[in-house]
Amino acid sequence: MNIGPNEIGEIVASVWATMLGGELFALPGSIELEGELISGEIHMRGEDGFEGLVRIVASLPVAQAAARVMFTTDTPDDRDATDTIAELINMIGGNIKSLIAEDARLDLPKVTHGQPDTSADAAAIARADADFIAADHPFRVTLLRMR
Amino acid sequence: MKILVADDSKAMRSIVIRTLRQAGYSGHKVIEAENGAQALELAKDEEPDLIVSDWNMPEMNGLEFLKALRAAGMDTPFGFVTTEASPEMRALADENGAAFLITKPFTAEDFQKHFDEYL
Repeated sequence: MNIGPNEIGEIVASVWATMLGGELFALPGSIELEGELISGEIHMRGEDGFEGLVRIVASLPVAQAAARVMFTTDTPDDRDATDTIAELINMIGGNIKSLIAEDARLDLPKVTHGQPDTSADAAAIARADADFIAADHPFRVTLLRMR
Repeated sequence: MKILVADDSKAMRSIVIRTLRQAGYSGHKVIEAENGAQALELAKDEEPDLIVSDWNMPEMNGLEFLKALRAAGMDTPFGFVTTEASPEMRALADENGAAFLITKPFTAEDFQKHFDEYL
């Protein structure tokens, strides 16, 4: 099954509603991700050679807002925001994987503060991006298929 | 009763514990582990009544934890709360004595459906 922005949007909305409960708006076009960012990605690898990754790039306030709910705290620290992004990309990636490569395995998620390393993106044979607004700030979820 | 929650994500442990409360299991003691190896030690020391574990964890994953637990002669009710739930993983969980496998994201109703038998 091919996954496009609409399918990614449905998965992200489901994860957001179930785990965080706050408002989430899907955006029809791409948005500019500016300011302080946090990025997370998770790789999927299948024994049949399938390889893909799911990435989230979020404005830091999105991660902090999500962390406030996840940790039930008014003052999440950097580690809380990092852990929150890791778990969000783990859930989003796992749900996407179940639709496109159920037998593939997920690596552990990786999170970095700032822009992600996109040097491998040029090798992707398929790509889908979905943009959202949560807590008045933007984030993007990207699916890349490498093989 | 005592519930052991094993997940390498502090965020997910927090959500599992919050969902336990939302599902009506407020009065139970919850102990936490960051990976399967730590969870195995805690299970031996604390003898929980129910174990809820992630599958993908560093050091010792959830399936290895379950196998080690059973090899140690402990038949504590054990369930996975995990992102991945392929038919192969469900079969492995079942073969090794897991009582249930709940996929993330989950709801309080999902917990009630599986936990009521044990709590």
